[in-house]
Amino acid sequence: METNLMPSKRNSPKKKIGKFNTLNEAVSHKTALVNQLLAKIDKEQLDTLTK
Amino acid sequence: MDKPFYDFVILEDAFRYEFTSIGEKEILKVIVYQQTDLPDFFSLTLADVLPDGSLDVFVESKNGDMEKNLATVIQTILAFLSHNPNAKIAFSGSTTHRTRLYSIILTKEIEKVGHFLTILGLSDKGLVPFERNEKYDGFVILKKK
Repeated sequence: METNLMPSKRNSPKKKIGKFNTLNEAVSHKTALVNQLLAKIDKEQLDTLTK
Repeated sequence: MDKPFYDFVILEDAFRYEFTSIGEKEILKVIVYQQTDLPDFFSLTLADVLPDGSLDVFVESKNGDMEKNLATVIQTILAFLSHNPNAKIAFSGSTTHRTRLYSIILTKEIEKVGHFLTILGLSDKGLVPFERNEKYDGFVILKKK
């Protein structure tokens, strides 16, 4: 007998994208996204543009 | 800049701001500036506080006052930069659509704020001066020296 390890869609809790229980969670999420974007900046570019 | 905006409350040493969007319903909005991995760079988070106390950074409130909300966000940027003159504020929309919307708004605002604020775009090319009609993944705003 096979066991289905995948949770059924009907029973799995729905986590709405972008919804957070606390402000800290929301801010950490957005800051992580911004950190990913900032990682694309090379230092020379940064020094030149923000001088 | 010259658009009407909501009164807002400045909290936590000017790192957190709150205002109420008043349209078809009243929605409490929170804006938080947080230090990122890069020195002097701060992320901007805009969230709706939902009736159950949870927060949503993704929702399109559809409260009929988007322009007034965004004008209020711009006012908080100015307030944050006046408290933290060396700060650089980095942000992106929660969706591609919203990032595009921010780009359109920044295009409108750049003429009014361009003499005292620098607006940069973030893309695969890194950090570049903001140009109209260019596609960006995010934005950086800082005070001109």
